[in-house]
Amino acid sequence: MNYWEMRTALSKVIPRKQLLMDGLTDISKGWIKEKGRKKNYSEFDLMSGEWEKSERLLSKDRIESFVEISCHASECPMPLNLDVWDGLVCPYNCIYCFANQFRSSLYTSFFDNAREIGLRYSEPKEIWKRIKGYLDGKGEADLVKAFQNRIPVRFGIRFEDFLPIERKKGISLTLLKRLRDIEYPVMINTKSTIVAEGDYLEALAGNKAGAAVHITLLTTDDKLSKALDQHSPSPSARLKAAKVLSDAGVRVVLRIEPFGVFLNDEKGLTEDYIGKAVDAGCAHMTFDTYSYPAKWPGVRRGFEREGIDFHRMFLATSDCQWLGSYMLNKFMGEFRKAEISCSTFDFGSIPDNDDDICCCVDDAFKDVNFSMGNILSAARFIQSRRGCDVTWGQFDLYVEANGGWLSIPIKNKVHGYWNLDNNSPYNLSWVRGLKECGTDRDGNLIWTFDKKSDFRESLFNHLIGG
Amino acid sequence: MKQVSFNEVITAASALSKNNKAGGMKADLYFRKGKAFMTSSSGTVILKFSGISPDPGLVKFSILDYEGDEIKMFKDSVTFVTKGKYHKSKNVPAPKLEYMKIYKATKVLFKSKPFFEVNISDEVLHQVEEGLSHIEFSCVEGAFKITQRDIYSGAIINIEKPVTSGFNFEGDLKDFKPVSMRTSDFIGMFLVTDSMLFGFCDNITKVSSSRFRGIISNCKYDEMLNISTL
Repeated sequence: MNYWEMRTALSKVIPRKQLLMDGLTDISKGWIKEKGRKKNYSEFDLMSGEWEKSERLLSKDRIESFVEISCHASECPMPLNLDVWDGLVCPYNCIYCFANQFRSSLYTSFFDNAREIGLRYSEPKEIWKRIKGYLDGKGEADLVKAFQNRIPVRFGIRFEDFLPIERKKGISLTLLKRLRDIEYPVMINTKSTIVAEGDYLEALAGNKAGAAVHITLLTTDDKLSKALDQHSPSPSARLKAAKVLSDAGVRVVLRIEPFGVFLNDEKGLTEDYIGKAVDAGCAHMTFDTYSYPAKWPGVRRGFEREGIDFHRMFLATSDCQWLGSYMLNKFMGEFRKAEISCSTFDFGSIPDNDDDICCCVDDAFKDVNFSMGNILSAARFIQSRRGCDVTWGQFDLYVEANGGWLSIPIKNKVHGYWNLDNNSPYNLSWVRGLKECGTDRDGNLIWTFDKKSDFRESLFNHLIGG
Repeated sequence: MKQVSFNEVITAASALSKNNKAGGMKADLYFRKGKAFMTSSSGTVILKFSGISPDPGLVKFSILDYEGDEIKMFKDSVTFVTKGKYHKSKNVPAPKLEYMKIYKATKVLFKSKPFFEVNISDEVLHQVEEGLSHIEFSCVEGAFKITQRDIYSGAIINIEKPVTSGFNFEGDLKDFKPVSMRTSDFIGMFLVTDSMLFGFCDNITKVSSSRFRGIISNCKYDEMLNISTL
């Protein structure tokens, strides 16, 4: 069954909502949840006998450096994040972005001036001082190890680092240039076209260690794009930027995240996307389903304001992990037919990734070490043993021989995933083809890979056949 | 239809709004000349009550705001007054729609002619999985059945009565394609009354009992993602 047949079959399982009349549902309310902090709040202090202002304030212009090991380091081979820009709400304000929701809730809950902060940034000098320190072995141990191992540094994880204001301030640019000068590998996640302009392009293309840009592009359809991410550059502008970067030798990876069944997977639109991606010289793509945190009420309301049945899409793509995973896997198959290399962070589909790192950047950098001490790499390691039994000890040795663990807490977390200690979407049991085949003398699970096995396929066939 | 008391309408709306089985549905009430519409915040259920006594007049409010002995409308807001040793008044925004607007929008829908009618009692709820998002009704080879699809486990759940008459059908038992609705809408109806007639139409399902009649929007099996309005 091809993807389009599966899509039709699934439409008979999860139906679409219809409203009886307009005006019954209230989707007009603001989506930023503010948790009751008051303006100009004072408390009368009984001891001093005076009114005292009780405020907690965010710095309006500057942020502390966001150089960090990602909280997803136990699931990710590239967990070295560097974000320089920040704000209450990203001006792109894409309706599917739950980071906006999260940040707004966090900032307005704990600070009195969240509404006043605007866009703020880290001082490049300060960030650079820290990075130099890590490279010289000074600072937090996990960050020192990450930099000394030359794990590519990633911009754009928490926030868009290439908004129009960046052109004036040149904050990200300063760091890109410095990283280029020391030949340190860089990866950017963005929807901006600035990365394909002048100095930015030079800083990326001139980085001898390699540079990669993930350009998020959910659809090439202008109408759908206006509904989903109307304040971002248009699809054609993003594709044009992709072509410029690609022609300059920068690895460009188009990113469909989130992929949503019935949302951005219509056949004609997909064919259009593939054609335009190929024309723009893009040979690499990454995908992912909608993360579970997207089930934030404000995200749903954002979709419903655009007349989109969020619930249907979420059921088919995210709420049921195996189902979204299986649909995504087959969807990627359509892109592979056009010889586009595809990968995903979706755990069910890891064995089918066209590269080991899931970002389609395996071969985009020179002299780098990815962080192999994570559960995604564990799945690929088991797969690489071609049906042999694989123990935790073997994987541990493999990690130690390839840069080592970034920290003991990360190792412990990966160990938990390996042994299915918690009900987590990152457990090895979610990876298609992986099977438990016993325990070792320490009680750790032993795993093997059966390349023909896919638990999702039988579940799907049963679901649509009943 | 029997006359219903004002308190019965309030109780029905409260049941829908305060019970998790109704899927977080919140009811708004619109009264006019002894009649009332109860609308759900999901936009998928409207119930109509007639012969309400005592008649509260032209008032509208969200059931979650309701309290007290008197209800007074002031333009776009409503005030609830509780009398006693102390008087308490609570003023809240009123729902945005108007009784007549709902009346006009639903007039045609209430006239829809069902292609199949069946009486269902709350006994069936013992078999219904409230955690599954949708429930469908169909008649295949002369057998009426209720189906739920568990996307999480791949299971298909069919609920049938061994003796066909158990569901109390009206008219002939002809095959029809699945009609789907939100499980929470289906379960929610039984929070209002314990048995009612379901009449399946193309786009809606009509429900009626001795105390009310109503409409539930059917869900669509197609490959679109837009939320359409009937």
